[in-house]
Amino acid sequence: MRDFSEIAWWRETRQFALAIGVALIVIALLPALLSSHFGDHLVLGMRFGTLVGTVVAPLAALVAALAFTVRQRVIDRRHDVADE
Amino acid sequence: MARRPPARSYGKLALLFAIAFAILAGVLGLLDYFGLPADILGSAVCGAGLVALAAIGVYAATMQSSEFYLAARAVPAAGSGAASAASVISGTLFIGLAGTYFAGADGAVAATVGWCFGFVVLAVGLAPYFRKSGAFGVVDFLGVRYGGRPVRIAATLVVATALFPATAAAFALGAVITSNLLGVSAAAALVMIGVVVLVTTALGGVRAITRTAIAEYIVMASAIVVPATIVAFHEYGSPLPQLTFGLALHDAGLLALASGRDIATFTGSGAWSWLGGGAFNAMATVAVLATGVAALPQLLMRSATVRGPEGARRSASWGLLFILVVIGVAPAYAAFAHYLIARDIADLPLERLPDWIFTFGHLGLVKICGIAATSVNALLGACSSTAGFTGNLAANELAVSGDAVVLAAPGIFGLPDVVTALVALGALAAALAAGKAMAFAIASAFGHDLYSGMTDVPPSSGRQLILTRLTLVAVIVLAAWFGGRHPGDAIALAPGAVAMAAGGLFPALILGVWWKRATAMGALGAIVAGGSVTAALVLHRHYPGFLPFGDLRLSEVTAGIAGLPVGFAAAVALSLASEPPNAERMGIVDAIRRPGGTPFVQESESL
Repeated sequence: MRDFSEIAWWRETRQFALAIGVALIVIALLPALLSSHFGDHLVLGMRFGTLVGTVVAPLAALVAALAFTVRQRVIDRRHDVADE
Repeated sequence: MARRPPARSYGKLALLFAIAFAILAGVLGLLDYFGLPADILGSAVCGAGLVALAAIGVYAATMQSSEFYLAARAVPAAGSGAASAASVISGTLFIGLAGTYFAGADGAVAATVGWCFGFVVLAVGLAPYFRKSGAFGVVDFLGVRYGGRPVRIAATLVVATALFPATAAAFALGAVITSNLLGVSAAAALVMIGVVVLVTTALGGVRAITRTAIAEYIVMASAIVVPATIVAFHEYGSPLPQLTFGLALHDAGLLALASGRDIATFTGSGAWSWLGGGAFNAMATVAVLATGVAALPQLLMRSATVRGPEGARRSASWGLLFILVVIGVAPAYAAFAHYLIARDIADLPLERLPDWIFTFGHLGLVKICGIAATSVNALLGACSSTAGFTGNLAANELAVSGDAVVLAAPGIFGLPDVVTALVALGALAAALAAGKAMAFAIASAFGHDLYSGMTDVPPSSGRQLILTRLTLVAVIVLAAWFGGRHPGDAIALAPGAVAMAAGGLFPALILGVWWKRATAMGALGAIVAGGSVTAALVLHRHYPGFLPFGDLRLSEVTAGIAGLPVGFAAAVALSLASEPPNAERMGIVDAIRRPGGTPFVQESESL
């Protein structure tokens, strides 16, 4: 990296990407965990795990991708490395 | 370099196509209402769709290499996202996911989650850096990052091995649909599909692929969302099938409880036979799809067509949104089909069974009393020998394959024939979009990425264009031949594309961005070891006995769960065992990571 600002930018970028990765793993485990804990408990006619897997987890992934896109832009600009 | 066309031209094209498609659907709907036969409707829908795609392909023809390989890097993020979604949905996902939900939700839930996560991994871990590198394709990126010809050669082989069966499967599926809609022979349908794919790829390259893929996305999204929305609104008063399908499952359960038995047997999708149950399979499916989808060459290639790293991130996010629109309604199809079959078909006299049963019975996808439902007389003969036969459809005598659910849905839902034709067109569009993108990814890997890295003096862009086009012709001819000759093998091996991308490409790609110490030796080891292990396991699954082991309980997709750690282990071990990258190579990694500044691979001059 060329200077201190870029090193700080990359550290922040890396931490943020890692946080997204951890969030994905948690979301991936949720349907299985919820299914085992809530069994056949129905919400909107669906088993809890099915609801999480078909509706909640995909939406959470979408929110994660959008949040990353917006937040990363802020980080890039703050450290003056944005692609303008 | 050619002047970049305004990004809004893609928006205009999408709007114009959507309006034209809506008008076509409306006119055909009216003709259907006034009694136009279903076979003519099907021919009109299929013919119009193929001609429209070919016309867009011809209109987008170009001789400029920056347009041919990169669409002048002027595709707006939303357009690139729609094209990305279209290129990975594929016919098997369009048809098969709902069918898999139809037979049981657990495996299908894992596939849905894995597919979505793949786009997040793409947005976060690969796409912006891929775009910043300026690379044209996956092979080019690996060549730029690591240097050396062996990496390019190995990556090209993995790309071809991964994508070829899936390309052939797309051709095979497209031919089956075209043959049924147009009433032509399977061979003629295959030739027509090949010609349309050739016209929409070889003349305009990525520019034509992007434009046709946007149009195809509009068709497939409308075709799958509209019928489910109508049923959700009609049955439950809500236009959101994603939130009402649970109520349909509940109602289907009540009907089964009231009658004391299920009305039908539901079998899974043949194309999705790789999905297994159990926690390990679910986790492996999510992990392989999340990494494999992110590393799919036809998807990463799309990141090269947007304006910059920020655009690549937004393109992946748009892609996720667009793919969610399509796969989000898959469970609704399954649930509504369950409920409406139980409510409307139960105890019907065999003479009054709806047409869709016989249409899909001829394809072997609907069985009654143990035989394919081809005619009332055949059913009467088969059912009369069963105990207690009353002339009506008896409990548990109806067996519906998951492969029929989406295409038969308009019939099951009681919608007009024109909707059936439009849903079939949606499946055809999905198959064509995926087939084109994969065929081009293979051809570009050979004709541009490998060729340009194999000579000390960069070849002219004209030679690259010619070689890419010739490779494209060869890939299309071979894929059409394989898909026509061995459709079962092609469809069964197609899911292996994601596993190969995960095992053979993902470790080298992700470490190339996130680990500066990764070397060319490490990348080569990752590609060769991860790709070989995955390919061997995929083949072992399809051809038992290929390896000297018994059944390893790994499917064509979960085979990637073995290739992934092998690839990472080889990359780390060989990188640490070899000389660290020199300052120049470290500088390349820094430049790839940094959003601003100059990319490493510049666009070639125009021919």
